Amino acid sequence: MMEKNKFGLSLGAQTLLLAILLCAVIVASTGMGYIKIPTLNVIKIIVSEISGNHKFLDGINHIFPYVVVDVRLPRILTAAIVGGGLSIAGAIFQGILLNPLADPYTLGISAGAAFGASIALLLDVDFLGIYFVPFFAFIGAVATLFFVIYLSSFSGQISSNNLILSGIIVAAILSAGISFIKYVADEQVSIIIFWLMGSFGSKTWTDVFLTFLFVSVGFFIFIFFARDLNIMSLGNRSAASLGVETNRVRVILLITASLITAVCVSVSGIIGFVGLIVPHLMRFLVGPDNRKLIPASILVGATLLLCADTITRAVLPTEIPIGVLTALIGGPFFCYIFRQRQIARIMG
Amino acid sequence: MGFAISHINFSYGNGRVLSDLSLNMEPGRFYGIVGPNGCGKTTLLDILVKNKKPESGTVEYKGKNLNDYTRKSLAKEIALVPQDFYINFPFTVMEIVLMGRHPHIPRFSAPSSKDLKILGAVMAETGIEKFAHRHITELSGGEKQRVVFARALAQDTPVLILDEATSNLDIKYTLNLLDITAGRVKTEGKTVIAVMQNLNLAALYCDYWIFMKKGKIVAHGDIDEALNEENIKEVFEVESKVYFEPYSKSKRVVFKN
Repeated sequence: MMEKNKFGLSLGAQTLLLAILLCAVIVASTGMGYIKIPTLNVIKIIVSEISGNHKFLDGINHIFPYVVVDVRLPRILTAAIVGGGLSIAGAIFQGILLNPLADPYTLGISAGAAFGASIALLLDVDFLGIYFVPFFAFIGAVATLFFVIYLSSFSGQISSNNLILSGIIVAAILSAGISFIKYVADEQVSIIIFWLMGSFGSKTWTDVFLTFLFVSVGFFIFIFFARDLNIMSLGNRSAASLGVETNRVRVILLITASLITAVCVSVSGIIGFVGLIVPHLMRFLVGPDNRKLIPASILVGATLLLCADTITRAVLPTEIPIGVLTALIGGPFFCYIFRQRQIARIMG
Repeated sequence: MGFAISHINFSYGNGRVLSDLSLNMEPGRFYGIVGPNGCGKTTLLDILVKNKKPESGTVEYKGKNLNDYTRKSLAKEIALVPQDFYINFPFTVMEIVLMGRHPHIPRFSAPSSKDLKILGAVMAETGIEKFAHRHITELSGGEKQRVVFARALAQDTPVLILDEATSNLDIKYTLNLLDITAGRVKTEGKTVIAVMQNLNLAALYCDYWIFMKKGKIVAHGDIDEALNEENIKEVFEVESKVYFEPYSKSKRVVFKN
């Protein structure tokens, strides 16, 4: 029995279609920017880079390969991977917390990362070079995760309500901490504020590989446990009586999703609403089955965040921080779908 | 061989919920557990499905300690219809019932034709096929409970545990679901262990009664001997009259104010 989605597409066809869309957006946005590069040239440059065969570059402006490979692609791929990563992490947090409105920030993970990054920017020590801030952000995120799990676990059981409450409490404390750091930061304060608003500017291939590693490993872990997560939406008792090791699955998925969030936040700063809206939207389109929701979320999340980053990089006259843009577009959009669903529920 | 419970204890913090409880349960019977609120009925069920572990004492199923079963192998033996359920995601009714086949379907496999056959049969039997494609989130409390009940029937296990599983249902579907369940006990030799609040409903279906109070079993036995005024007085602290009622061909319990 092959389940079809709203548009009569099977899982395979749906995934293929969304993957083609993502590739098209990657190629199109690579051509956009201060220097316009024709689409065909972009494809030729990418093909020559992958195949190592430089005869594809004949007749192309010598500066184009440099712009595409060293300047634009790292930023574009990082934006896409972070978008996909935040989206699947959001889908998983919503599934574990049994709450369609949860996102990677509900558990205070991003507040932890922001706190770590703020400390690093305040200290401003020459250690690990440009990876000093991401490293601190990552440590902050992971430390927050374990503290939240510790707060919410009781005799080996973790309840989703406790997780949400602990996350909110810890995030509130950390936000106060960040405000304090900003207060004492003097001239560093603008750097901290800028980092917190998120940006994909000056990303390198190292960022691409780092985020790709975490997001792709996480994706396969999520797919492996997708069916267990479906069953877990029946509640703990029912899921356990259906043979799901609920505690083990919950801890594995929680840690994986948090690590993905931590890596994404540490390379790009705080980018809100992607992890909330994309899974929400996809659940509406392909249904709540995580085996379909996760592939759809990673591809659509990548496409949408890349589009947003391309708008701020190449379309708008001046670049606005990507985190501000996603919140400005995503926030009202979320209010709209939330309101529509309320109305539909009352009318139905 | 069914369950052999011997000398189990369980407590939450300082409150002892089950104390030194022992009981044997044979296959092919419809067990009813009755007792006042907070007497440990649900905790006992949770221990039987290995959702909680007793602090001391052992529970054996088919002669093997429950701890030696994996969750998955136990899910092929025992199904649970919980008292409360809260599903926040818009799965369709059919998807929910198919989740009952989870322990029988290997990871990354599609449901087999046998799974789909059982799915169809259970949905027809419980009368929920007319809303098979509706979202569970749109159903009423009673409709949801029928879906959750059907999900446990689809699991197709030798043992079915009902934790006040018909509390939200009107009388038609209560009788419908309990008739289906009782039928499986008679024809397929399945075991049902049901916690029930309504003594007269329990009297219609349960052939073996277990009276619980304050974490202990006060009395147990076949309905003919165990269901009597003394036990009801002992457990619930109310006066009653128990008699045989010819129309329902079962014992009735009546109270007066």
